[in-house]
Amino acid sequence: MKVNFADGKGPGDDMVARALKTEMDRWRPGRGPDWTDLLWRASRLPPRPVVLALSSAVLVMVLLTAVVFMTTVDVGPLANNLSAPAQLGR
Amino acid sequence: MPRPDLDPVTQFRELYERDYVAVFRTVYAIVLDRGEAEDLAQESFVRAYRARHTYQPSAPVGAWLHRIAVNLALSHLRRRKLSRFLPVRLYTGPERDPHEQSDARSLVEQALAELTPKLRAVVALHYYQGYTREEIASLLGIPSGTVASRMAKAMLIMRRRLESGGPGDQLLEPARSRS
Repeated sequence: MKVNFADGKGPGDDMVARALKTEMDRWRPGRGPDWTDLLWRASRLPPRPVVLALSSAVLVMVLLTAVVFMTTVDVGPLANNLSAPAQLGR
Repeated sequence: MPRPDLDPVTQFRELYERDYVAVFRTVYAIVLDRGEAEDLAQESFVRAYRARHTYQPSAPVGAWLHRIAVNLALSHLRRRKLSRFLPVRLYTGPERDPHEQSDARSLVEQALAELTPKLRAVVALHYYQGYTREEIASLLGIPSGTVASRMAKAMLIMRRRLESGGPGDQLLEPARSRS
C-alpha cells in the first residue's frame, strides 16, 4: 500500500523517530526479568581468570605434546634432516 | 528526569530489574526476534553480573549495559550468518516462514528489517535510548563520523520504507493526505 504524504516529501526524520519510539515502547519481553535464572546462569561457568588460565594450560600442553611427538618421530622443522647435496657429499 | 545511576557491584539486582526491558528493546531492535532477544538480554545481564567488579564509573551504567548487549547481539547475528555456510547444520535456530513473519510485523519492524544489524543498533541507541552521537561512538568503539553516516543512511532507508507503506500500518496515519 502506497502512502501519500501531505507535503509530497514522505515522512521526516522526526516522524520516523516518533514512529520508532511508539513501536519500541510496545515491545515487552514474554519472560523476565528473572533474577534466579540470572544467578544460575552466572554460576554455571567458572570465573574468567580461571577460564583463561585453564585455556592457556591446555594450549601449552598441546604444543608440548606436538613438539615431543614430532621430535620422537623425527618430522617437522625440528627434525634432523640432511639435505640431499649434503648426503651426496658424504 | 534522568534516572540516578546505580552501582553494579552493590545494586546489581535493582539495576537488572530497572533496565531489563530497555536492554531487551535494544536487543530486539537488532535481532528482530522475540525469543532470541529475551535470551540475549538475559545473557547480557549475566555477563554484566560476572564483570560487575570491572565496571568503571566514567560512563553511565546504562551505556555499559548497552555496550555488552549490543556487542552480544551483533556477535550472535554474525555467528548465525556464518552457521549458514557450515556443511553440517550445527545451528538450529528458529525456522519460520519468512512471509508469515513479515506479515506479522508492523511497518516499523519491516523498515528496521531492511537495515543491517549495525544500522539497527545505531538507530535504537539514538532514536530510542537517546544516546548522543559521541556516546554511541564511545559505546560501539567507532568514530563519531561513522555513527553520523550510519544514522543518516538508516533514516534514509526507513523513510523510504515507511513512505512506500504496508498493510496494517497505523503509526503514520495522521500525516497521510486525505486525497
